Amino acid sequence: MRKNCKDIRPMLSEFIDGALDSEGAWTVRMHVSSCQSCAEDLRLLEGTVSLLRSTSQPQLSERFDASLALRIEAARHLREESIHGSVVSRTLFGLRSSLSANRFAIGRALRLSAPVVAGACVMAFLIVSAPSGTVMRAPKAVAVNDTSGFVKACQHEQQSYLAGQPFADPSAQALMQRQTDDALSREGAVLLGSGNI
Amino acid sequence: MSEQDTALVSRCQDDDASAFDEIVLRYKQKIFQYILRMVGDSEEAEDLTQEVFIKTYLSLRSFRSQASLNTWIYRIAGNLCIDAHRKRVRKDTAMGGAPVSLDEGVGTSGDGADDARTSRELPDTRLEPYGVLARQELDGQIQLALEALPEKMRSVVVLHDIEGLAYEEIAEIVDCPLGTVKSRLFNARVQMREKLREYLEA
Repeated sequence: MRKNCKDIRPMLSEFIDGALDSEGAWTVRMHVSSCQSCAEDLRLLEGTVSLLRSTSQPQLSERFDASLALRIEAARHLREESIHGSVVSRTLFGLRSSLSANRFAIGRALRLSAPVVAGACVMAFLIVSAPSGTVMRAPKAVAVNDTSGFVKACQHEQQSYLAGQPFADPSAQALMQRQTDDALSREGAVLLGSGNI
Repeated sequence: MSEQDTALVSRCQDDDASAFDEIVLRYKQKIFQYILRMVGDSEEAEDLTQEVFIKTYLSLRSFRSQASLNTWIYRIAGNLCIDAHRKRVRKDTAMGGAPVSLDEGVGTSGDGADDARTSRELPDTRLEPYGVLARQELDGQIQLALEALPEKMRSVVVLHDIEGLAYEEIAEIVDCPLGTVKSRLFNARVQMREKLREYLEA
């Protein structure tokens, strides 16, 4: 298909640079060989590019190098000062980075030790709050040979402890109370029998 | 990036001062010419060229070899020219002049400030031989024609026709598609042709 001037003109710039493919270049060449107006456009455009390419190279002043060296030296000093000024923050950052780098190892150790720690906590809680602990904290004023008085004292302790435990079902609370009483009675008897108190 | 540039950057990152001197030596004329064609004032162009190298020096440590050193330095220069243009626009606006966008030429508004700029750019040719006179006059006219172009067009035509960079490099420097570079170049050349017609037909 033969292209008209409107299609060819935008191609002239690339034609001058040798940037058109062979088909595009051939199309332009064919068109300008038969179109006086586009041929003139091309000639003037080539002349413009030629003028631009021939412009004189401007020269830097003699003081350019020395002045640049001074400015770079000043910039280097400023940078070094800002680096030294931030040494504390860099140290903190380094520490944080190091912790961050080791966080997987630390997390793994915590995960592995968590059951052991949890178990130890539960054991400590049981020792402090278990019925036997209550017995150990039995009032000294109670006569050791007064079983009923001792058991009552223990029951009182246990009830005080249990008072803080919410029971939605009153029958469950009564059952729990009974079991606690039985256990305390048995344990009190055993302790009295062994002479530990 | 060429092997030579990679080696230079690597030496700079190892604090080899002579490597940076080499970069300055290799690029200072080209960058100065580019900036001078963009801003039109020799003193401002030298100052901005120094800024380009200071920025280059300070950021060379973080430079990665994905980009070419050549396009990277030109990109720094281009950004500084845009900043300088914006400062000038702000100053002109503050002084009551009309703002000029990057898509307009500095010589298109035709106010007094442009006339002053024009007379400053025209070389004083009274004591020069004729050949030199003609060349200086032509260079002055080329500079005026360039300054009449919108900044975005001027950048492309200077980078291609004066600095000799390829379309692809320019697209990277001015951060726009290849097609835009080609169309800006074509339009810039057409406008330059109209401004320089007198010299072309002689």
